[in-house]
Amino acid sequence: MNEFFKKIVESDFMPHGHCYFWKTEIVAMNVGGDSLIMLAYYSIPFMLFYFAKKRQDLTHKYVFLLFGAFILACGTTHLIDMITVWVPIYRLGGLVKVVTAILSVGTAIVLWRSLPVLLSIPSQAQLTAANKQLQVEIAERERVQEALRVVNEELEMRVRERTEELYSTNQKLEKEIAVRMVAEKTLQRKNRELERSNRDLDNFVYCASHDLKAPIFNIEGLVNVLKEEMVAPDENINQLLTHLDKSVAQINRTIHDLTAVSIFQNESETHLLEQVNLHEVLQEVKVSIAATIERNNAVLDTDFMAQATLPINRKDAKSILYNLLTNALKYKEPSRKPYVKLTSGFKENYIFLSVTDNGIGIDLRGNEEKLFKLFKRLHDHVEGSGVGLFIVKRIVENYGGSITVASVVGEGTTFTLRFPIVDTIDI
Amino acid sequence: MRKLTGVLLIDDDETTNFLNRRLLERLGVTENIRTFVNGKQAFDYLYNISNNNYDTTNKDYFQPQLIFLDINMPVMDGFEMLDLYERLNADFRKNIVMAVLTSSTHPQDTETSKKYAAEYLTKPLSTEKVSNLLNKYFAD
Repeated sequence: MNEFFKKIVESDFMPHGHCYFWKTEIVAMNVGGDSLIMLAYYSIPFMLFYFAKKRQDLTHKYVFLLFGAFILACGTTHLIDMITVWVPIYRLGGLVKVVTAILSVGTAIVLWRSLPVLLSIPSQAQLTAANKQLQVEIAERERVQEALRVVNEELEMRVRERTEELYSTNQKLEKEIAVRMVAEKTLQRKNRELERSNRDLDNFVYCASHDLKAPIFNIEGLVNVLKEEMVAPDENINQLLTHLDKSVAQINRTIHDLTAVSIFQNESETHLLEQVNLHEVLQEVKVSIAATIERNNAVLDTDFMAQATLPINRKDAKSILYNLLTNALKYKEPSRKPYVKLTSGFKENYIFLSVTDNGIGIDLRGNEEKLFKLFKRLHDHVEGSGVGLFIVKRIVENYGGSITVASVVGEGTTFTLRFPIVDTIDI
Repeated sequence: MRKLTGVLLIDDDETTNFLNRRLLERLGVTENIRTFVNGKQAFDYLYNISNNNYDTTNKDYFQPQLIFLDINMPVMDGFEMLDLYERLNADFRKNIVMAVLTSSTHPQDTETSKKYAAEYLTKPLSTEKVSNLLNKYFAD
């Protein structure tokens, strides 16, 4: 073996040209063919190396490198073949062939083993198809995105519109509130004006009645003095004096009633809401008119079970009961024992109190309005001034309530008072 | 009942004074009655009496025991006079009964009169009202 490598470049054999008998055409063909093959084989690996170097993304670069080495080795075998025509270095030639063989076989094995992997490398067509598919998908995505964008914009627009709508509604509401506030203020002012003019009127009534009192008292006193001073007046004079007395009494009563009404109005303005017990108030009123009740032999019946209180102040409640009860007894039917029934109760939004008598009744046709007016009287057979029902009506209305009357002539009368139910003191 | 040493009637209305004087005279309440038409006049009189600055022989000057006082009067009204009156010597005042006599039933007036040591009477003055007053303060 040592001898083999020592003589590796020895040319101790016959040149290969002898085999061709040095025939020019054979030598030329073999040498020419070999040289062209060699050139081709030498050029291919460089191109492969170049390709492998440039294509950084190659996954099987070593296959290219093996191919390059294998082709390079093949080229070298042809070079040796060309040389051996003249220089018989067959040992080197054999060695080169062995190297070439190892490279070829190795390459073949590697290639064979790499086949599945190489097969899995997508082809251009596949890539193109995949690319196309991707493009389609991208297009689809873009379309969807666009659609989303449109929807989004629409949403935003709607939100904007709604916001604007809300804003304008809000502004309208604010305007409305402002208008209402102005209206309310106007109402309040009107109300104050009314209250003031009411007060003025009350003051006027009070002052007028008060200023009239002194001279009336004087006239009354003077008439009495006159009576005392006159010695044996005749019948005519006495009659005149009686008329004078009557007139004075009448004007006295009117003034007294006027004062009563105006005082009531002054006081009612400062009332505080309270709950007054009907039993208690009735008891007080009964005491104050005990004589009248007894004289008339009257029977008072009550049913305050459902509602034992009225939402008004005690003084007003007394005034109401006093006026209604005295009226009931005043306008009794002479042929029967007076019977008065007081009933209280509540409906959904008001409290009521009704006073029913079995008196002479009232012909209400065209008279209902008149009944509650100041100094209006429907009967004149008994004493009265026409103030009582006026006062009752004013009291009830002061609490935002109402009074109604129902009557049958000859059978009796029912007055019903309604008071609104109030939770808080908001007067 | 012993007669009073004197009564003053203070009212701007002459007729009222006339009638009240007549009533008191007929009831024989006193021999001495004087009338004044406003608080100023009456106060000047009382001021002099309280200081003993008067002629004791003059029948027009006397120590009053009862004073009827109107509220609404020109120059000086009843309340103004009461204010001044309360500054007079207490010993002098303790023998005098002051009665506000008015036709006013105005809550403000009745309220104001409560501040003073005075009776509150409403017009017209009557035998009954005078009797009640005398029984209350001058019963023996």
